[in-house]
Amino acid sequence: MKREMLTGNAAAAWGVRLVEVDYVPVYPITPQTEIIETLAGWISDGMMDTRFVTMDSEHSMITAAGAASATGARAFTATSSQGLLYGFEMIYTVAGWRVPLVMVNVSRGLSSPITLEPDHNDILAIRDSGFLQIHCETCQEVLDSIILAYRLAEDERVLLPVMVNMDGFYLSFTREPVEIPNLEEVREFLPPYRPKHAFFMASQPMAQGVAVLGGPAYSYFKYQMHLASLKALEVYGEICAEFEREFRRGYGPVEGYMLEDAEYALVMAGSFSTLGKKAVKRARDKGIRAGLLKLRLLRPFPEADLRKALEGKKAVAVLDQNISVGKGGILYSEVASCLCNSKKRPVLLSFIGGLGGKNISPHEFEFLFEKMIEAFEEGTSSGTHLLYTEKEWEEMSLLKRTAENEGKA
Amino acid sequence: MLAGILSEGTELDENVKLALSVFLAVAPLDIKTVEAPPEASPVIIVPFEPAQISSPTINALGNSPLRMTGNWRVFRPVWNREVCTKCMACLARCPDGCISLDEEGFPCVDYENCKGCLICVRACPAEGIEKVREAQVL
Repeated sequence: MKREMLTGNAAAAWGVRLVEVDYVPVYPITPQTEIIETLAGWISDGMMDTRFVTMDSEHSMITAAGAASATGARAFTATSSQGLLYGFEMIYTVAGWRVPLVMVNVSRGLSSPITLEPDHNDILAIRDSGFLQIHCETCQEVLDSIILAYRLAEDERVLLPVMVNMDGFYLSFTREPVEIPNLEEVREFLPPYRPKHAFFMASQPMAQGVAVLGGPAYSYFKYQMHLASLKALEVYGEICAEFEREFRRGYGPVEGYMLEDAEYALVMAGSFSTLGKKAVKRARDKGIRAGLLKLRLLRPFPEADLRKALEGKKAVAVLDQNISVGKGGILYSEVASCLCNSKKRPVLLSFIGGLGGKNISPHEFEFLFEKMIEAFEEGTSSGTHLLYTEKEWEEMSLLKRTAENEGKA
Repeated sequence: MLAGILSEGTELDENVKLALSVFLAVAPLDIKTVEAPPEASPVIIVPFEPAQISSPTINALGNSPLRMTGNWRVFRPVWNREVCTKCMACLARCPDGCISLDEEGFPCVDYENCKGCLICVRACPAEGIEKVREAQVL
């Protein structure tokens, strides 16, 4: 074990190096490129025994990675935002092959307007595909989650691909101290992948990913994916316990921060949760019994953990770093759906913040807690509130004037 | 790494010495950090605005002619007025819209923006445009 200052991207590369992947097809995109650059360097220097191939697009890249997985190889690839959308067709396809591909997505807002900074609309676009999703807050979490992801994906009870997500720039380019486990320890935790269902052997020919005609066959395969994904919740619990014994770092499907005795709970995902935790601490200093629940697993959705942690709270605010245009926050709907039948249901509030990497200031969190208290007192809340300050509105107005759009209508 | 490129001994030593002298010439700087006071701007309700305002559009002329991208050029096209028939084939084909007509109807080029792609040279049916190297290699 050694400790180094690593960016989120470098931590991801270290995770991939430690699991000793066989094959890495790549295509560059900001802010992900540092991952594949780092791997390319190590492979070229002979430090990794891995086949590295530069592809012509993300569509080909995900196809190649999934296909390699279907031969029994341990494969990895990474992308972001527009790249993920360009390869979108193959995300669903590879998931249906039931192969344990692990990918990293470095979140970045979607076009248009085109941008580079993060939000979660890219990763949430593949929410329903069958890929499992692990969302990371810190660089250490990125490295560890990749090791966990292979173990989870390759488990015979799961056999679904996993996407490990980190926020572009805020995590991908932020250096944090990261413990790099020893290779021997990782080998012990993650045995070689020996598939019984999908592999390449000349003496045992098979056709994989075949077509079906007729709803009953299609329904069967899709529902089996769903059951396997739910099974992954149980498996995840087991392997996290083992991981903690081995490496002394524990990761639940959700993480609570000052949550147990909290009356007002904030739900967040990704690196912006750090801002949320600080805000919770400030709120506590002011006498508000605040807490935070961070979602680490988004697929499978940890309903029972969530219900257990949030039932009986006075109010719960979901702060979505995404927007489902025409509906609102995506995670709000998910959290609401698992609390709606609860007898101890808290009042639920929906906020959207951090779109395209927009900062969430302490004042905006204060506003959010005020609204929670208000909603509890009134016993209800409605609508989605975008966290946006007067100062930001003024800056936006200046931009509109510069673009000569102000006053056009 | 430099050792493989530079000859052994003095040349490398001299370079290291020079680099060190430059490095040491910069006085170390004390940076004081203070925690920025939290932004106290109130949260607002963002109002609806029609697409005429709220689409990512800039209602102004493009500014690329101001960028003076002509300095990319390796070869410049030069017109021979003796041969030019004023057919305007060059003007029609210029991908950057750099060619206009002068008072006499001859094509003239904006060298500040012409990137020297030489499509005009190929397009000229009278072979009246010459390519001339911008700078001689010494």
